[in-house]
Amino acid sequence: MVTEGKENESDLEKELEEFLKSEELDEYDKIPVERVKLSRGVKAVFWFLRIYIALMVVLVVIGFSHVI
Amino acid sequence: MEEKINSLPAEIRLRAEDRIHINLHRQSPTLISRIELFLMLIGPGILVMVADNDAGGVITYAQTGSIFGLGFFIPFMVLMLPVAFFVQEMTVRLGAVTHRGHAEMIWKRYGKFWGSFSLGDLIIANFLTFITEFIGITIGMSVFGIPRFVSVIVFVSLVIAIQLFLRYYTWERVSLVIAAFNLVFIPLLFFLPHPSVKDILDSFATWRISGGVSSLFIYVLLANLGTTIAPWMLFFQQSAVVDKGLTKKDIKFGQRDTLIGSTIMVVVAIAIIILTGTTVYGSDANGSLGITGILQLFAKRVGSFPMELFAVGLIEAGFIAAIAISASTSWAISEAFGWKRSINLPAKDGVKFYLPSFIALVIAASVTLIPNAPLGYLNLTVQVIATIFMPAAMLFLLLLLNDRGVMGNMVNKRWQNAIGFTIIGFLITMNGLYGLSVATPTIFNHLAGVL
Repeated sequence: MVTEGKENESDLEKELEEFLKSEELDEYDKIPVERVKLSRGVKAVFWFLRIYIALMVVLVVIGFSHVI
Repeated sequence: MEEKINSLPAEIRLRAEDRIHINLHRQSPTLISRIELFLMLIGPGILVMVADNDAGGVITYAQTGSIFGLGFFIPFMVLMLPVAFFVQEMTVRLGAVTHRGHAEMIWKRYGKFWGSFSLGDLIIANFLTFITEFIGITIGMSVFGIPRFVSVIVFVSLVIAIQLFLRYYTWERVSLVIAAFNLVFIPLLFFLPHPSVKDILDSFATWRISGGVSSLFIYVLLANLGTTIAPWMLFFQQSAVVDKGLTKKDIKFGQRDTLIGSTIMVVVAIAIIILTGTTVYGSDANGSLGITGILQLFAKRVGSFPMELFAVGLIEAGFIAAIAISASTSWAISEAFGWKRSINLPAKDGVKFYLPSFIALVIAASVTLIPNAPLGYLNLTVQVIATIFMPAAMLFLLLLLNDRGVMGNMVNKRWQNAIGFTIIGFLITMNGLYGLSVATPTIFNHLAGVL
């Protein structure tokens, strides 16, 4: 009876291990993400977007100031 | 077994419990179990889309209908359904494959500089959007005679309590119940005295722009774009997918969830445009852009009860979006700085996670207490600012979705990239046109004269 209980518990533990593995819960926050460098072209696009954002925000503020 | 589960960190343990329930339903072949499984797995997509019909959105749609009537913006909003779905679906795949939020992915993959670039944009946009939520909440509550400062205190407290005291699954279900009130705008259509079905159908054939292309039209178009797709939505849904614990095998459910959400968002948006396009459009006071004036005219045409229901919708819209944007801010900041991050975190373990967004929430809510602020125009401006930040946010998303090192075989297909870049191009073009109209205010009048 006691042995049967231990076997059941062991089965459950095994099942839980498998479940945690299949659900990736054990390593949910541990999947490695390697750093990559952005290519020059992509960097140039982002710098363009940076300037574009700054310019557009200024224009929106000017537009907004006409209303106040 | 219990020991093993208890040994997991609190936030992972709660997620594991939720996933055990999901797994049990997945193994059961009965129809009821499958329906239950579907209901358990949906959430982030509907929430993000309904929260996107936020107070700022409701006010924008109401302003749109009252200024432009039943024309261009009805088919335009239908067009926004695939656009919103397309953009948000990418976050489902990215979250389910990487198990990381958007901010963390950018930060870890491309480094601190570009990470802070994107996080900075998000924080500014979220802060401004918080303001519009409280504009909506305070105006809606004022219909019931509640003073602004009382509304601010009550709703700031409610948002904080919901974030602090509910675990993810309960938080999501409570949020979905609040979100359901967004549908209140649809039955309101039955209160309209003479809704012109013909005019609504005609709008699809003609795409008529009342008053022609003008600076105001470009501005309102941008505001509608900004309220349909916004940076916070990308961060929110991806982090929600991660916090919910979705994996690759749940992606299909996440896609359906997003499709349902997009449909609800567009139907509600069109309902609001029809409501004010039928009742307020054409009246003398529609140029003021003020939601209070729009509500008064709406009440004059259809009665005070429908107007009160409209106000309830406005309050709900601000409330649900404040919850979602607060969560989005918390997730993004904690992901960037490597802090513990989960709605499952108990308050005592998650001070760093919760605090920054609460501070932003309190400051933004206080802005609405400034007397005589031009809240109507401020609201449209915030939506326009969202469109300015969106191209950069979308470009990061497209970069990640094309990164085989991250996505494996789940990378974007060519047609998906084509749509993505078309949306970015459209946003930049429309912003450029707006910029042109600010720099040379009469340009569209001249163009109209030439054409």
